[in-house]
Amino acid sequence: MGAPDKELVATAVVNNIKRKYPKDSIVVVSNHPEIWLHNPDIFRVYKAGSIPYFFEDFIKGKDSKIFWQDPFNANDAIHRHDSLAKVWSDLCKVPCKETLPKMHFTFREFEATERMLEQKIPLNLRQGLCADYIKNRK
Amino acid sequence: MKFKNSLIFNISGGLGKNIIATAVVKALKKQHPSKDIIIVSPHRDAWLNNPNVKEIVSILYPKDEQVFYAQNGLDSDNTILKLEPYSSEDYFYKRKNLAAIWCDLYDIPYKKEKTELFITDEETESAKKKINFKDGDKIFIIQPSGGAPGQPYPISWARDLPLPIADEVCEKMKKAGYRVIHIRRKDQKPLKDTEWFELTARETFALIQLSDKRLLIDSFAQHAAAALNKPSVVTWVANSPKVFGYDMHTNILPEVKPSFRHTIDSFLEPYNIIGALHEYPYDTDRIYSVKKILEDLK
Repeated sequence: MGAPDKELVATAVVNNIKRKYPKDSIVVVSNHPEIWLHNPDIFRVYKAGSIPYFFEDFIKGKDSKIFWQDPFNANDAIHRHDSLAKVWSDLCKVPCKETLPKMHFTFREFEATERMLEQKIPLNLRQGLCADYIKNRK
Repeated sequence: MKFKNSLIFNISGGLGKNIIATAVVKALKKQHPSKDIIIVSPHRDAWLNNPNVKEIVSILYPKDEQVFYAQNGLDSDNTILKLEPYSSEDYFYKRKNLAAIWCDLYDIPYKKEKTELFITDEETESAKKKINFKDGDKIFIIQPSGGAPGQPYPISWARDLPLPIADEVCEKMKKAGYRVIHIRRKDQKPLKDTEWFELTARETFALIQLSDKRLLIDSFAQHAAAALNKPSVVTWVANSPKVFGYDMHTNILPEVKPSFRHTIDSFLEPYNIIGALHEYPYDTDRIYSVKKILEDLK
């Protein structure tokens, strides 16, 4: 759980977890479920804070693997020794074979976006300010 | 950079968790005898005079913590130990003692190191003075409620001793000739016919050391009692003595069977430690036998 950028990194970490545990079903609890839609590595995504009966369904008597440690608390993340995906995978004790985020869109999502743009020229997409900066500036 | 080549051990959470951490730091020091250990914590009272610790950094607000790490942690050869034992799988499944879980996070060999507190004679004298201690006083201490100030419910059923039971035990201990001292914050409800003193945390540790009998819950006092080698009777509700308890204590679990409840809000643990009213699993507050508690206190 965290900001969207952190959750995007998490998609790479989850891919690494899936590689180590290919037969297990991965359940993600997220602040930004839209990042996880159609991700074939996961079984379910739940919006944090609205998951009735989660304990009964996934924890109680289940022997589930729980990856709940915040990677930002890891020494290697604080010192910026490695990429967050690598630090996080290490915390989860899985080999870090993937560091790139993964997102999955439907044909219609691509099509609708293309229609909205209505231009067939290459786009230059820029993010000038991060959300926290904009909030603090106000 | 003030600290060089040090182990910076960060503890968020309450006083009890800090006392547990003294066992972890003891094991850490054994693993790295030549390294300095710096404690970053809001609870310096648990760490004062601890010979395993080079320096204590009191951090009361998360913002101050960020400033501290920016000044002392980054771009240096310090190792920061800031992982959260409450976020580990072994914690959620209550597989081990918290100190063991904490050590596992950093591959620290854990050989059942004991928690420890270091109280000066002056602190003990100060506590004696405040409670007007006289030779021959038999002191019974009770801590029936825990938690932080401003918690949603003043009594958390998930941790606290039901007050009618606490009152009954106090009455019996008073009749048996004990001075009955109630450990509580000023804003917590007093038990009937008990004494209360405004003590610092460390004076409270000294009081625990002075006491003859103790009835405690899963809060800082039971950790302090273990650290000071004072076997006590400890009652438990939602938390597990396997994770937070000590073998030296007599740990009492509810005698009543839980009733059916919808665990609609339960996420990674069955109950919220704040004691959400709809989660209370029993149909009575008589969840322990007073007779059994009194026998265990003998």
